Amino acid sequence: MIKSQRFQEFWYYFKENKGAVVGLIIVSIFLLMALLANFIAPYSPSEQFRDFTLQPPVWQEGGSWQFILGTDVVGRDMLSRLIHGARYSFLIGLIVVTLSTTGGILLGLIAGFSQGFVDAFISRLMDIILAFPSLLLALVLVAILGPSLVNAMIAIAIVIQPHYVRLTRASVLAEKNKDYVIAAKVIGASKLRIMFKTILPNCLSPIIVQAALSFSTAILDAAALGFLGMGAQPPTPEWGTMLADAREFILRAWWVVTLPGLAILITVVAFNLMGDGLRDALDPKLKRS
Amino acid sequence: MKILKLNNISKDYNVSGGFLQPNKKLKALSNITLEIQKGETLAVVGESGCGKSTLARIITMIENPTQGEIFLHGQSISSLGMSKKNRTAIQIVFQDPYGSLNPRQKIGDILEEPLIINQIHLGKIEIEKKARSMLEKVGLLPEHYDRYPHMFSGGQRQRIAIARALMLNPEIVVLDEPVSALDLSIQSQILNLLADLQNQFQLTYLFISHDLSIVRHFADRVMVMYLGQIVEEGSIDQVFQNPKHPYTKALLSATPIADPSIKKERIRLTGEIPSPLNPPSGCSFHNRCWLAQDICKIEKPLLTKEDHRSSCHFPLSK
Repeated sequence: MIKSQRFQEFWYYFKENKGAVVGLIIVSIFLLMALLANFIAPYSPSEQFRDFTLQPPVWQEGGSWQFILGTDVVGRDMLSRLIHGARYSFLIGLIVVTLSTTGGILLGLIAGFSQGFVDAFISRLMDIILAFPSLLLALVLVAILGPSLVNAMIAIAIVIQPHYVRLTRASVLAEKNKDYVIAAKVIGASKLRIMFKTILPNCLSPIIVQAALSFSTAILDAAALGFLGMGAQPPTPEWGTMLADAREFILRAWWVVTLPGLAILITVVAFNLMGDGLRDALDPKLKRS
Repeated sequence: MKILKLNNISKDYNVSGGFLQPNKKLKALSNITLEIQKGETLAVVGESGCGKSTLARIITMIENPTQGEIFLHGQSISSLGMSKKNRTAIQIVFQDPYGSLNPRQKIGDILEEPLIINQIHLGKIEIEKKARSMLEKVGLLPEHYDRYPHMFSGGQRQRIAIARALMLNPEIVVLDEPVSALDLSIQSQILNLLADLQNQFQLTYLFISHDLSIVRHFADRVMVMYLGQIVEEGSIDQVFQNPKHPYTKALLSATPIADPSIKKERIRLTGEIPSPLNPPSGCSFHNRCWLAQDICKIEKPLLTKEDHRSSCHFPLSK
């Protein structure tokens, strides 16, 4: 009953923000597409129809209902590839966000709790990572680790992580001197218990918002790495890689470049809108009672 | 029977003096010696910044004293560090009921946490039973067990905080201004509850307050602090009827009395409370005292060793 009441309050503030609701709807559609890709997509993403290369979308002259969004250079169905691409994007987002939040929260908690040397060490290390342009650093890391989708995800997670460390550390510093934390100390709670059971749940709101926002950053960075040939390797139907593959045909066949680009744009915008709505709903400072 | 003894407790804080300046020492408590008898209520009064709350934090072992020792039942606890048994024997109720409860925990979880941590041998059902019966003892309803703190009023929250402090059957409860954040009508309810619980569980209270009229009704003994030092201590009657220290007298004269026919002699102190970073020489009260003589500026008065003790070169008499 309490849980549902909380959810109702959350939903009340979330739906105030129309953009966020639109974002949520778009994200849900893409998520469904990703989950049901095998059933929705008309063809396999790697099946080549050699007789129909570079066929335009259905509404343009020369297009046909057989390939609604046209085909690429080797005759693969664009629609099927885009639908399967959604799968990769969500997977990338999910794994990157999971990796960076776990690492970031852990480091942030440690930094916030142990003042002095450890705190200074972690904080300065994160400052160093933040000092690099994020994509450049990711590129360097992938160059060291070797180009592949997994390595790209690890690199992006490392680049995004400092934001979580700072966010968590700031929240921990704000919470740790409150009376309820001291009360937990007085009843004999161990350090670990105070860190994870007492303080962490009270720091989660800003972290959730940041997670939603960095979901889109992860997708964007992965697409950029894919475009530069450092992320997913062809023939993976990853959106960034698709863009890179089709670069030479940009003047002859606009759809092979524009459609994956649009897909990236729409998901990123949708996630950002949703993140804004989450902030409205979760940040107590913005609440009007 | 004395239950708690503080021997010469001092607490210094290092305060940064600013960029490239040496750190300064803030003397929050200096040479506090006191005894608390089992079952009594000792009130600690004084202006803000006089070290009342620091004393509470030292007694509850939230912070360690810079110097001195604390004895519980004659055993030193500050030198041994805090063993689990000692820690659970002294609990605290904070001033602000809005900050002292974890907003993400249900009331049931808040009450059960002390038992889960400290009494591992107890089963889940038994712990829940204890939590529910404690809810009842502090005047809350069984259905409050599943609610979150934000659904309660200040008075109810303070009841929850009291319940949490009592879950471990403590011997001493430090009450750090437990009612000063509450409405006047709620204050008396909470004070009555505290008095009832004291009888029921044979509790010893250290009651920190700045409200002298509450202290007068609630406490057995009272200790007046000024700038981290004890200036006077004695039973309620002794201190209220016959204050020995000028500061106590000034404090008492500032208490409103609900009787217009009584003529009040209000003593107005001049000046501000001095900074504890830079306490005055001699008696720390001398620059605000209307009875100060030359000796007060030079020599620090010692606390007398009687039952009704005070630290003044020229104690007042009736």
